[in-house]
Amino acid sequence: MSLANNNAFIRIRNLRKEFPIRAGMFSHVQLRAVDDISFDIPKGSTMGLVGESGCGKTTAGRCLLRLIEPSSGEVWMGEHNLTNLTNDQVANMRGRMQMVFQDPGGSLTPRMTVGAILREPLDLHTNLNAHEKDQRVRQLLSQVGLQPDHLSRYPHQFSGGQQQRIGVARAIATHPDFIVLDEPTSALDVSVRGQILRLLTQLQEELGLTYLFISHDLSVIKHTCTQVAVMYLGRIVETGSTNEIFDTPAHPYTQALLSAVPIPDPSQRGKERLKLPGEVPSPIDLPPGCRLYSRCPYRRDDCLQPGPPLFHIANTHSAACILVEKSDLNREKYGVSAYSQPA
Amino acid sequence: MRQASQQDTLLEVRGLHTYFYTYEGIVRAVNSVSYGLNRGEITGLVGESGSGKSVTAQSIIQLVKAPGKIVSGEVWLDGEDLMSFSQDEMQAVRGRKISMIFQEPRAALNPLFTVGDQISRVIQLREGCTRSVAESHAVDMMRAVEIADPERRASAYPHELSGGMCQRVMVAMALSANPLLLIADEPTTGLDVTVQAQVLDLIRTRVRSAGSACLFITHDLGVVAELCERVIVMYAGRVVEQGPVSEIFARPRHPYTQGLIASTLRVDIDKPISTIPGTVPDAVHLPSGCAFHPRCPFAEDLCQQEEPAMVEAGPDHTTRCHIVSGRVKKDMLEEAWELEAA
Repeated sequence: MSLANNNAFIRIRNLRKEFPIRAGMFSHVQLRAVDDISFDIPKGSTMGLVGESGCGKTTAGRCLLRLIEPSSGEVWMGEHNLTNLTNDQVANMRGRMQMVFQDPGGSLTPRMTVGAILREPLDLHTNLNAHEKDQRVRQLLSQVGLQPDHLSRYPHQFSGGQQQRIGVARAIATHPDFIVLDEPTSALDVSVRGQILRLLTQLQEELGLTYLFISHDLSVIKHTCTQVAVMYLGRIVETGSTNEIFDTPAHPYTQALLSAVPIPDPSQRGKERLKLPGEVPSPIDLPPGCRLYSRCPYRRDDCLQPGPPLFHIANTHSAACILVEKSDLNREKYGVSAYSQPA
Repeated sequence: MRQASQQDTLLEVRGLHTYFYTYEGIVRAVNSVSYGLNRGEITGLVGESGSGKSVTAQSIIQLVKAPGKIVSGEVWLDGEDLMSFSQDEMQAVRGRKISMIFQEPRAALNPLFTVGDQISRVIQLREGCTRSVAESHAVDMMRAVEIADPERRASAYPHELSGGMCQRVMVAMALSANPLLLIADEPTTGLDVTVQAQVLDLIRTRVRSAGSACLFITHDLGVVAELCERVIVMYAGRVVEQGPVSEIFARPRHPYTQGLIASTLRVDIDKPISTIPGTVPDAVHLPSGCAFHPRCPFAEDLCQQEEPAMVEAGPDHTTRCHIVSGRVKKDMLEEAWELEAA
């Protein structure tokens, strides 16, 4: 694999993660949570990983940081192949790659003050002396918009938005290059969500951070990411720049996902929607072909063939649908009227 | 009996106060809330966490948990004052005239009984029919909420079904009574968008066809815009604005509603991220005057001193703001929110 001439900062190649699930007393089946995903994130940009619950996006994010051991595949950060490192070496790298979690309250130790929470990564990953650490902690607080007198308080004394600010401060404490943001705003109120998103964007510009932004919320992805990968049942079904994904979605799943998002404008009520019947099937015992087969309005027999791989559409845009390969984006001529009016 | 108002009002809440008596002090979770719900309409109740929207719903069916207490107010359902009802009379209203769908479908279902059992139990209690009749009716209800293979699914336990499926069971259970009023408390919050679209469709068609009223509690303005006819916006225990959906979204008059709409991200258009500065106030120590004034970009001295009254803001559209009432002379410029984003 020619990874040397690729200037992307984060490079993921054929990443897989399987969890053994007990089927009987002695037998196991494999649950393929992440199935052969590959993508690049250029330095200083934000990759959005979007999909519904159970699609494997959180597992993928954790595999990238080796918080979970991937079953196979490679994860490159700069010149380091993270998947080849020993556990000790990974521990040494932790300061350079951090994570912000979904539940801001649950991810902060309730018995530690904010000062202690922010000092811990400095103790583990830096050689600063006590005075320097103190200064750094104060600097972090002001960077995320908190006051110095917050240092001696405990997490429960803060609102959800402030707790997430503490989570962000902890993540940037050791000057990381790469941060995985796992649904950082989904537990927050609308008016506070914008504040956190703006803080993240501002820090990215100031510190040159590279983000992997995991979310199920397409509107958040649209406003924060430069590139997007859409996941369904462990596979990336479509990837491209944010504009490509949101303006010209090619995969039926992306189209359905986008058209299911409620638009906060009553005058647009009654627009045509692509509806997916049923629900996400169990990730155990998946068929060899397209994962969307059971719900796809455009399905045909060819879809049951193993695959499909990601077909190139334009620039960085590609989608894993055989209709894309046949350049058959105008599906209406097949007489399939998948779009329906709401009642 | 009071005469019906100009429209076909099913539920009327007047001057409702529900307070929580905590060690830190009194939390005025619902503070002088008045609104009406019309038959065949879905009314959205929007607000951030802690704005009192769930407690408003619990007050209607008188299921406020201690230390909460309904202090005063009237709740008229179809010409009857629910506040004058005894416990037993109220129990007869719940599940028959008013049913409720909760946010966590799996927590609201009993894990020890099959979903078919739970639906048929509701039907049996109401109709006084035999078990087998109720069971076949339960299967019909499950078919009505588009559960595939309802005969087999009826014998499934809640843990065997997905979140979306459990929420359909809840909808089936709530609607099996043909209630006059359906209260849905964030019914789609934990669901994926494709499943959310299915559940919303279901609630919409069932409410329309049954001619009942629905109070739909949510924090998602997108859902309100797609589903509801009317909107009530709550902030810190008060209704700050209410009116028809088209009117509120096109001409929001209260700064909080404007801020909420401005900070809602959209997939269909590009715009900078706007936010409302600050956070939701501490429920025990609410700010003086208008509770929104510390976060309001247009606030003046009067807003700190005096709580604004509900005033007319347009056709069938009322709001609680000194600027709208004309007591504070100031222009509410949309740019104020965009500037926040810069």
